[in-house]
Amino acid sequence: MDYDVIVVGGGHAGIEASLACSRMGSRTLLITQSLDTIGRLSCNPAIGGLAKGNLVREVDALGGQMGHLIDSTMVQFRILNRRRGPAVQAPRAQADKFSYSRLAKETLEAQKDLDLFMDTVTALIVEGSSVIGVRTRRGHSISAKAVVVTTGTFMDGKIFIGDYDAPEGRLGEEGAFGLGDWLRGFGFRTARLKTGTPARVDRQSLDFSRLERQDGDVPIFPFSFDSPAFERAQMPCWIAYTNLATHKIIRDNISRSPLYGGKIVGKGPRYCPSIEDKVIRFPDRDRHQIFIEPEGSGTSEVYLNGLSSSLPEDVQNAFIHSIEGLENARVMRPAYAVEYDFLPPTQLYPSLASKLLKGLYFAGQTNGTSGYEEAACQGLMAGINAALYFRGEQPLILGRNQAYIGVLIDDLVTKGTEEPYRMFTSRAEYRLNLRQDTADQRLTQIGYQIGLASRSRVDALEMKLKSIEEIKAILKSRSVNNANALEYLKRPECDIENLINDIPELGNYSQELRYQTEQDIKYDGYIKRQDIEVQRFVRLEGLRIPESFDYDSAPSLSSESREKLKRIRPASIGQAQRISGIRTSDIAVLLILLRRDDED
Amino acid sequence: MKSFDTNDMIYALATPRARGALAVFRASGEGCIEALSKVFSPAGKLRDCPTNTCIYGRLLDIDQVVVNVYRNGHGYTGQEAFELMCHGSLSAFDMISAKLEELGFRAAMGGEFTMRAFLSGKMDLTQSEAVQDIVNSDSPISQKQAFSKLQGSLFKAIEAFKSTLLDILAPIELQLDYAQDDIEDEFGFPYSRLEALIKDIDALAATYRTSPLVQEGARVVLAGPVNAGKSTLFNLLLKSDRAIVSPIKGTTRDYLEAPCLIDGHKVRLFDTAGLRQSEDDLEKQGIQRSRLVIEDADLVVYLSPDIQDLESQCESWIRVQSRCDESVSDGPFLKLSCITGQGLEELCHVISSRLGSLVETCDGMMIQSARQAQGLHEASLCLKRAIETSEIGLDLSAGHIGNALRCLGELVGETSSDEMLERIFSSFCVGK
Ligand SMILES: Cc1cc2nc3c(=O)[nH]c(=O)nc-3n(C[C@H](O)[C@H](O)[C@H](O)COP(=O)(O)OP(=O)(O)OC[C@H]3O[C@@H](n4cnc5c(N)ncnc54)[C@H](O)[C@@H]3O)c2cc1C
Ligand SMILES: Nc1nc2c(ncn2[C@@H]2O[C@H](COP(=O)(O)OP(=O)(O)OP(=O)(O)O)[C@@H](O)[C@H]2O)c(=O)[nH]1
Ligand SMILES: [Mg+2]
Repeated sequence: MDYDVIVVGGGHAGIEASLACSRMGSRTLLITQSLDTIGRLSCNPAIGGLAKGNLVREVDALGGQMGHLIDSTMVQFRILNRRRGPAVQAPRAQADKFSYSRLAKETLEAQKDLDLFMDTVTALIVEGSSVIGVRTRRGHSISAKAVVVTTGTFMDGKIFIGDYDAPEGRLGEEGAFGLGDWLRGFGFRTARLKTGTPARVDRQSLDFSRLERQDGDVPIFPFSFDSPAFERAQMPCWIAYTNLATHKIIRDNISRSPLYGGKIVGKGPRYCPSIEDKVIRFPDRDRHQIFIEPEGSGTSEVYLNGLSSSLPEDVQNAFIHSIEGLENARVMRPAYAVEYDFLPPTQLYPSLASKLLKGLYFAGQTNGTSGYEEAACQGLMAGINAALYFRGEQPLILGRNQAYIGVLIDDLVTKGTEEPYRMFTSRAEYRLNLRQDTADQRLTQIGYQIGLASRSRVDALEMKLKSIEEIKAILKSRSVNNANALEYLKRPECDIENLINDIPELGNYSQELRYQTEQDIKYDGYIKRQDIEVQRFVRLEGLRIPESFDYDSAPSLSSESREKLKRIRPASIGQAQRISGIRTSDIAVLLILLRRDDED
Repeated sequence: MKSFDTNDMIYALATPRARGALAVFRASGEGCIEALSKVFSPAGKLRDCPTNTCIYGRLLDIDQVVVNVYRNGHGYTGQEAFELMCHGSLSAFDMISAKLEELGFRAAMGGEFTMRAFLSGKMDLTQSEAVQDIVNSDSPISQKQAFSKLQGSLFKAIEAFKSTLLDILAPIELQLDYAQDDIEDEFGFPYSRLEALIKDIDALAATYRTSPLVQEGARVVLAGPVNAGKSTLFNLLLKSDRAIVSPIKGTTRDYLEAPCLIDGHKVRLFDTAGLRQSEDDLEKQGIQRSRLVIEDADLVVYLSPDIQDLESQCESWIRVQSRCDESVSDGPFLKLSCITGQGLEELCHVISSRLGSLVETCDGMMIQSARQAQGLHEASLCLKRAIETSEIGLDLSAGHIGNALRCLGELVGETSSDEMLERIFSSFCVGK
């Protein structure tokens, strides 16, 4: 055996997968098409945001890398939706793209038990019902006990700019061919999805006097629970607006879009529409907002967030120039759309293991998601589970009540997806329990137990919990405006920061800790109520359905439900209930049959 | 998501939701006896009794009850369970249900007790289709079931609530799932829309209280002093000689009950013992029973030839000056003679219009089952919480609205988070 685990693809999923495996003691090889593009941010130069920021915190809490990478390379930091409630506030940072991917590669190179190799995987090697290695384009056969596939937008990738198309996964980067055919040949289903990215223009060609400036927040709260508080000079973003002239140009040329002309068959994300989608679907709007984001401190390229398009370049130029402040913008890279193969994820178990082949895991955009954070968290989980598989241990599956990661993976494997899947807080039933600042409380112990999160992290967590208790004790012992300070803080309008004058001891703790304590206090009653629902949820997840369960031997299941159950093979009654279109009566039947099997 | 938990505490009224001498609540699930003992006295006796015992006691100040206790492995479901016998009055049903829910019980789904009985091996039905039928029999109102007009419009009404709620929730979730500066639309918390919806939901839920009135007939009780002519009127309305009529005071002892139609209204008509101070033990008992019947009446028709007596009676009763052919005194009350027939038609008319206003319907719709009523109640409660918490955090508020959606969903079919997202994306232009 050449390696314990092979990871295919050095994107955000592949980085986490290969680091997790090697850190958990598996000898790991990362094979990727180009060593120069490891950890590249294909689209917007930012990490985090609503729900996504929570994912990054969770990845970090388990012992993943993304939080560290962005902490070291951010050029702007913001906390979003602070005033909407703690359950939905999240950190977002602008990254310096080049430093980000360079640091990613350096981290991989420095990792013990991890090798990097540049080649393209074109086939898997199979023995019986297990995968035992990969074959590459340059003819190598490399063996391993487990393989994690993270091909991103590259598998049979094709990019489009108006009439132009090319077999690429990103502009200027060759797609990955061969593996898709092999998978289909073996019996996997694949399908097409599409996504797009806007143009990058030269910062020096913009008229900033006509743009709105948007600065970052101070202080910066690091993404990683490891990172000490830090200060850093931040770069601003800028805001521009499209106008009626912009929209007219787009409408007049809509027939030249490969999407509207029918050239692209893959489905694109509704939540991330191209500018032509927005103009066509919302004809009443007289403007759309554009965020101009720096691609990094060492480059002149800036990213036109909100203008993703697959229209021909002359049309792109025309509509960009119709925007105030961008009249003379010089396009350095055009906007384009990419269409690629993905693996409908109902072919996977909640461990991200394939149902078809033992030892084979899929993660990232390959599973129908979009976004760096969505990719990273799956990469981490697939890596962890590949390593656990190698060790002969049970897989790690996070519940919907434990982490956004759990929600994401459960949604994918239980319901599948028809469009690129992005995380939203509204997808989580128990989002009050999934606050970004509690990711360590939820997950670090788990990360430590599987050998991924370090001991020092657990110590830090204990310290943090102790401090929070101390703050609560201080509050409890003091009164403000004739009320107990702890009770006083429960009122919506009260802010812990305003208590520091009256209770100076609070100043001994960091603002982050004070903030988290305040939220704990304010939400305490609601969380307790939610906990009752959570208990019920956990009980249903605990009613396991054996993998070997024979649905055909249950004549009383409705045939529609039977087909679905056979396809998804849910791990528990809880999961079975979430399969769309499963009848309650069939769940009842299942319970009875399981019970009967138990007795046999 | 409609949950199929098999261990939590469930309850249901096992006898029809109708007045009667006795009624039985059934409950099952881990910890249910301990939970009940919190509102039962003597609590210790209930908590510590062995299985298959019968305990008599009080349920707070609601009712005197008898509880049959089944420990794990016994009883119908084979789980820890109890049957609670109480008096069969609607207000007791409502109070007991509310108390049980407060204690953490939830209303059982149709067939859930049977289902648990299967699961604990208490029932030897080899064919699980039987369970399917049972479970399906109380599944959410489906489009297919909409053959009945009532169910059809109910389905549409609840669907409409759901849809309104999605419309309300979409802009809120939008605020939560997108950064403030990504959203160009103005946002204000939709207080008035929520309040309007709560009102609508409550109105529909309120029809449940009155629906037995329609299904079984309203209880119309004829009361009054001895010899007022109650039994004579009773026979007249029934168009048959059911009751004994005689000039002897105190002829009627045990109350009589008979179904009848009054101007098209289904009615359960009661003739009662004439009210007077009596030394006769039998008559005293009869009068005592009559008082109970009067207490539980939907409508009381009080007959008396004596105007002063009529004046001193309850204003919400229909007060009738009977035997008006004999009397000369004049009063503001409806005059009736069972001999000449004077006033009979008018009396029927008054009864019928009072019954009409008793039966609350919501555009002709009526809630039929406890589960439907509970679903609506809960939804309304969640929406009230959503309003209460809107100042604390939009995330809390949205959670409550989401719960309300789930409650409605359990009645007519689930709302998936995808539906929610769909609503957002089709109504708002967001995303980069
Ligand atoms: C044009 C475009 C637009 C996008 N738009 C958005 C957006 O609007 N919103 C959003 O959230 N995200 C967007 N992204 C997606 C975001 O870039 C991805 O979600 C994220 O990078 C996925 O990470 P990944 O690790 O799954 O795959 P990738 O980052 O794509 O990495 C895959 C890696 O695997 C390598 N590889 C593939 N196949 C093989 C093989 N057979 N052998 C060896 N190596 C292989 C590739 O070379 C690549 O390095 C966009 C991406 C592109 C290209
Ligand atoms: N004149 C006259 N006699 C009536 C009328 N109604 C009833 N009576 C007579 O009054 C007597 C008592 O009538 P009941 O109907 O038995 O009276 P009741 O109210 O049922 O009396 P109790 O059962 O004793 O409480 C009978 O003799 C009836 O015939 C009426 O409208 N006019
Ligand atoms: Mg009588």
